[in-house]
Amino acid sequence: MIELTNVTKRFGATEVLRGISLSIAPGSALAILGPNASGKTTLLKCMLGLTRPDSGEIRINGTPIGASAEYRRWIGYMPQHPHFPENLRAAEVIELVKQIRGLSAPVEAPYIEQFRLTSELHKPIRALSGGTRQKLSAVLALMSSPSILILDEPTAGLDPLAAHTLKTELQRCRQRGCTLVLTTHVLNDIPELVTEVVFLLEGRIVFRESVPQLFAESNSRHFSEALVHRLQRS
Amino acid sequence: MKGTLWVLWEFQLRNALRSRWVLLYGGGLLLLTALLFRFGGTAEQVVVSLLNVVLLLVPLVALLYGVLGISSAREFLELMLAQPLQRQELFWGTFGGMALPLLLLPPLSIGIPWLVFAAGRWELLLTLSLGSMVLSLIGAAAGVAFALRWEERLHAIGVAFGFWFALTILYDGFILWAGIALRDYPIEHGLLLALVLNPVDLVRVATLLQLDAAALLGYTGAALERFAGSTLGILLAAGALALWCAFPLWLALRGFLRKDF
Repeated sequence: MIELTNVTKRFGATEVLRGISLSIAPGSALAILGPNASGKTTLLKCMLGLTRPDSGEIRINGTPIGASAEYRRWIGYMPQHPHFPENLRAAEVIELVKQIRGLSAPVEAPYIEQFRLTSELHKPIRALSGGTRQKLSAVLALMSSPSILILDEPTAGLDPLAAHTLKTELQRCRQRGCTLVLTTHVLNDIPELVTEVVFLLEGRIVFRESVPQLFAESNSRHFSEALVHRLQRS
Repeated sequence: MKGTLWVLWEFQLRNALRSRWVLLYGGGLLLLTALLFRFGGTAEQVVVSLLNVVLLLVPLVALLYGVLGISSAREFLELMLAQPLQRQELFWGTFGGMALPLLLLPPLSIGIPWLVFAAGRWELLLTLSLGSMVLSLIGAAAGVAFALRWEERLHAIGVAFGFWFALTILYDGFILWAGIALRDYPIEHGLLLALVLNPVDLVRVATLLQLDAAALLGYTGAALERFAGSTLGILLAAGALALWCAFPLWLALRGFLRKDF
């Protein structure tokens, strides 16, 4: 369970999050949508403790996130722009995260195979393309079988095959009860991945609605049209 | 199972030791020292030549390394912070792994040719090595603090350059100006104190005093030798150096703990 109560965040004169209250039930799949600079990434970073809210409270499975870092053991995270130490190899980055999380079994093996990363594992990171780094980021997020996945633009930069693989893996995670929270600008991904959307504008929640309801209200088969229809109503 | 700090140090060290810049820095210092021994002669002559390199280059390299080390790793730090790690743990793991090669490279790059050429005067090597390590630590910590305070890389590099310029050139210029402007007043002790309060000057003074070069500086040199050799002088110098190491480290840690990534 992820619970945000009246979360605000300001960067200088800009109020990025304005009293966000949100409750995400275990096993649900939610997309946070909105235009650029609407506060999507900041909201995700607040859930992870990377950015500290100015006020409000965030609890993950009942634990206030400021109390300890242990709650992050339940979370897998894919950042928007994955970046790793240039002189390490992909296999070493995987090993580093495994050691920090106390994982010893070859938990990464199936994901490396799925994302066809075997031939890239022993190359230095600086020799890897942006897409390959994104695949590595996906492996790092998925390999510990987290109960919560927080993904910032997960399919951006991935080729269609890798994007399909990632979506299949995310659906598999959902089947085993994983909570999914993501942001994306690729609207076609939304119906495949999530059941609910939250729309942010200038740091405020404009609406929260289920995907089937959005489709039903708009009589449209395209998610982008359904979204525009709902926004016009707001 | 290895502790988290060891894990972070190990991987940061691996990354640093494979960096071509680190290899170039260490290799360059080693080559320079070897050439100075080959063509320059005695340990004293080599130290005089190396001293300015250590005083100018070492803090500058450490500052830039600190700034670039953090500003280019921002997204990776973000990923690390999404792991079950305390911020403090991640700071010491990252800083330790980054700073260790920087601290060890100058003593090794100077020490290896020193051993090969059997130069003797080990106390000189020790002073220069400790001095370079202290300057590296101060530079790296200040660089990290600047990178955490100013998110834009060019801005942080500019501040680092300004800090280096103030420490290595402006400060001496000010002391020189004060010495000339106030020459009619008894300011020797004040100026000596001012010298001891700058880590770059402190390393310079400590090395020069071992070379007996203070004798060439006349009355001021004698006063300097007396002051630096006294218990008060040693305590002040040690205290100032400890503060110089601790303050930038504290600033960097504070910046890291408060940073919104």
